[in-house]
Amino acid sequence: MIAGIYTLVQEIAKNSIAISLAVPAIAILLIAVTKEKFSRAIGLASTGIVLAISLFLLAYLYIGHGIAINASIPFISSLNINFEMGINPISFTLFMMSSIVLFTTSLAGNVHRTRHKATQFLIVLFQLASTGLFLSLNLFIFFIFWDIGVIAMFFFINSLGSESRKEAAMKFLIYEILASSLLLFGILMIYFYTPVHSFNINTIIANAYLIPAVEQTIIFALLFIAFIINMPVFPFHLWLPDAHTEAPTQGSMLLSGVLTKFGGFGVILLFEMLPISKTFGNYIAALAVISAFYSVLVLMRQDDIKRVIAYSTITEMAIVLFGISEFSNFGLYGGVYAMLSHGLLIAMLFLAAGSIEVIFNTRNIHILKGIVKNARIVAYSMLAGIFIMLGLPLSSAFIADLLIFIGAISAFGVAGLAPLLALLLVGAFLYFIISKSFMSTGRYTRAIGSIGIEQKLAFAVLLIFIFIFGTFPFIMLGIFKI
Amino acid sequence: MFIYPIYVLAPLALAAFIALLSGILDRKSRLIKYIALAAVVASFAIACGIIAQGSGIYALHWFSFGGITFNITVSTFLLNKILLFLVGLIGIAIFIYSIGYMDEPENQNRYYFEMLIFTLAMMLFAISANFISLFIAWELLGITSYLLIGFWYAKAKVSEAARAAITTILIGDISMLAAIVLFFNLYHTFNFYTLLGMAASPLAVFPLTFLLIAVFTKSAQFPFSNWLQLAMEGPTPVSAFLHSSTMVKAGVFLLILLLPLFVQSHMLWILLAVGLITVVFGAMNALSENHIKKILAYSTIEDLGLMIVALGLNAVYAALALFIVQAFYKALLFLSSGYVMKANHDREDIHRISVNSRLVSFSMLAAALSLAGLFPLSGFFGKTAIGIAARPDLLVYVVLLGIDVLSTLYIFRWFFVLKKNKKESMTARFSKFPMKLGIGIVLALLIISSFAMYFAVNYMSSLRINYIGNINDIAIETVLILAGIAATWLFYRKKQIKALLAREKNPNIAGKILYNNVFVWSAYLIVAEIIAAIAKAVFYFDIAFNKFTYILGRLALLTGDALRAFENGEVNAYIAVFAAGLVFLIIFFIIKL
Repeated sequence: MIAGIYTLVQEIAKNSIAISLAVPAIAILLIAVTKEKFSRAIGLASTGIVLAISLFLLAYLYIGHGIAINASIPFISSLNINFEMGINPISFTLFMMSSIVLFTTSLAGNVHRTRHKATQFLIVLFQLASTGLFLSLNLFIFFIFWDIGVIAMFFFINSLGSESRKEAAMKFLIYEILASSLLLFGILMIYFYTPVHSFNINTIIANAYLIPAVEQTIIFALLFIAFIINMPVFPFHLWLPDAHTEAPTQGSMLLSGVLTKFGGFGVILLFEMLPISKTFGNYIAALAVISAFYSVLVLMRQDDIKRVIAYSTITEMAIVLFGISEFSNFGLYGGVYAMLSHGLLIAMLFLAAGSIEVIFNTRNIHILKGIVKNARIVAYSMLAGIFIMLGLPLSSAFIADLLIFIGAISAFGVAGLAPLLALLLVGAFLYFIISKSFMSTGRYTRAIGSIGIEQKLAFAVLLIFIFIFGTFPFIMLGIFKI
Repeated sequence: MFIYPIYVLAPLALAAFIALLSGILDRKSRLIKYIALAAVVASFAIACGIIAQGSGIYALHWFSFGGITFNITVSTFLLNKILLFLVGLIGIAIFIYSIGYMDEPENQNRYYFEMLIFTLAMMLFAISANFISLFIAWELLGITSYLLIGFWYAKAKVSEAARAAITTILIGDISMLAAIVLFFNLYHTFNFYTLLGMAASPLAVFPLTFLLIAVFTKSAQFPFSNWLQLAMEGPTPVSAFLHSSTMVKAGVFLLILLLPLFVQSHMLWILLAVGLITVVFGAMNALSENHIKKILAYSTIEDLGLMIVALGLNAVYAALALFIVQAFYKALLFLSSGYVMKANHDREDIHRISVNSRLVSFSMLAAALSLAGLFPLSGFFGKTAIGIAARPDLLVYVVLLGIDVLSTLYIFRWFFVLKKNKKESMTARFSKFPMKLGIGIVLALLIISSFAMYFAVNYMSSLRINYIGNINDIAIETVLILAGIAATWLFYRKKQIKALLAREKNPNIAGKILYNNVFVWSAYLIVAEIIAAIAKAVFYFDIAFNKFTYILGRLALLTGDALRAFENGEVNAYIAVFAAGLVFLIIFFIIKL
């Protein structure tokens, strides 16, 4: 009996990658062919199963089974392209984050309670992309899933968004296609300049030092720009606020929560692959600091809650980039932890912003008054989100901040504290919004809508995970084995 | 049976969880106030158990990363025990008082949840022995105090007051994080006691500066003192708790703990200077304020300034003496003013409030005398201890004597003006008994602490700690205070009061400078405006940059338009271009040959 269970556990772990790719693939087809009333259930089942798998894997890896979960299927043998997937600590952390965010997005569904079929279809499509991307061990596969994610997000904005969605979607697409083309170009250059001609990430890591310095620099520039367009980092950030303004709530949750992490994950891969990137560490850190301050200062002039949160994403991702550019374990894993934390947090904030729009029919902070009176749960979730963003202890953001800044001091000295000032400014402005629109003196915007139990549950799920990763950080850090 | 210090948090956490749960489930619970009180009493009982057993330091392994262990370390040394005891004692009185004070049924869960977390954070702070547990407590304190100050979010001014508090606290929190990582980088430890045992590094100035900023924000020192008087918009039990034994005392407590580091780095003069400025500002503002609680808030700022001055003189025991006695008289002052405010329909101006409860009047008098520092009462010992420490430095000593007189003036102005008002029939109906019980407990504590201080003199002198001085000190102190009381009596009980009131309403230049920290406030505004101006510039740059990318797109379109002229569908034109290309190619090959 026990032996049987043990074998079952082993089997599930071994096939976890296949399952987490097959489930959304089947779900896509099912949603496409079934009626609209089943869409939510199918989407929820698909994201729920993958969440269960990732939790199972978390337990499996924490208990002490080494990370040796790989899958490889020949794809285009003549060009040495294989369908290679694998789990390593960093990719697993992001996979964990994306499966939680996707589950809550699917759970919250469309806050306007219409068009479930399109919403769930796109969520599941995006799930396929993010799962594939975070778990891929092959740059070719990485690229394919990257583009699937971009396309899914394009349709999210283009067909489910608000008024001027077409323009924002096109802007998003232009930036992302530019990133994709640079990415493809960079990947091909890596393929041709490594002596072994491989797309396999591990092979590239082992052989990349053989690429001549000039070519390495070119490849680095191509891929780095591609990834920071996606992250986004100043000066390639302009698509993000517009995309968020027009995107539907669930699209925003996935856009900031998961899609921006593609870029962060890419930068980590890039730094692992090309040895030359170490020489750019200080410049990248400077760029990150500039980006953080730039976005904070622009954030202070925004009226739209969603735009404010969008700019705060740029700040947070700049801090992630800052962490990664330290080239130390603290910075790297701090950055990964920050991405984990930020994904969950920003999904919650965008869900709150979307709920505010549903309840009050506006997102303008100068019109909204006394939200806490008429939308209690939303207001408290927003407030909790702000506390967490500023590094509330026992939340995941605190662990991330601690690791990043311990690393930053040893890498850059006292100057490494600069991003904290940006964080301070974000906080000051967010508290201004709270006092202006959430508390207010006796005047209240009238509620014309309401949110359902499923949105409230989504808030709860996200908060619980944020505090689990913050209160029991040893679970995730134990997997890192540093 | 051995009790781990961390257990002291368990009842509070449990009760807070119950409050949260019933809040989420929208239950209007009548029981939660008793549950909260029971939790605080249980916590205090556990705290007493901890105090009774020996001291020690206990590390709770949290997580480790990169070869570094992050522990939540707690300790039960004398200082920890003192603060734990204070928080527990005052906490019980405050929670009893709250039963009467907080009579809105719909807000009970929220109030008790926030209060319990606040108490929990302070208890954790009291026993914390490394920066990790300290930071957890520090941030929780800041956030819960923000929530409590903004408790009545629908009232005028509350949102601004809460924002002022949290923005200042945020500066402190970020500085604290910076200090922690800098300390860690310098000494590779989070533990206070390991840190204190290490040789000073010249680079320690950086973390110590950040630490000072954090302490000054928490303890409302110059230039971060403004939030504390704005915070008076919160419920009165919160003010009483915040000002007496929690939150603002946290900063001073941390300084008491880590003072040797400042001594090593020669940074005491900063403490002395900031403390003196704060003391003067606090006392002056308290004299010119009319809000019943804001006078007390300024008085707290002054008290904290005095403690910082004492620490600046490296007189830890003097600071500690005031630290302890201040908790009782300040809690008593706040609790009694909460009572009279409630009885007068939440009026705030001292000229419109009357007192007609004998217990409350007596409490106010006792607390005021203790604050002024009359001989047998506990406040005397704190003030004298600091005076003795300051005596070698004549300037500081004279300033402190002046402050003694000023504090007598403002607190008796407060007392006499309140007492002078005609006894209106207090029509407000509220449950008086729990509030009176809370006041009575603190009054008893004040008197007991006075006796304790008095009888502990000999024991303390054997430890070479002198907080009573000699007969001269007692004489000087008493004469000054009696003169102050007499002056106040003359000013505010006799006919001059109308003229004085008129002058208070139209202050002269000196009054304007001192009143409400005008300079500090305008400095804040200037900083805010500079940041706003930069933000505006960057914002317009962002828009221009966006336009620029559109121009790039437009350029691409124009290029497309230009090229489109070649693809107009006219066969003749195609043939012409084709021929031209052919000719060009032939010429090219000829040249190449």
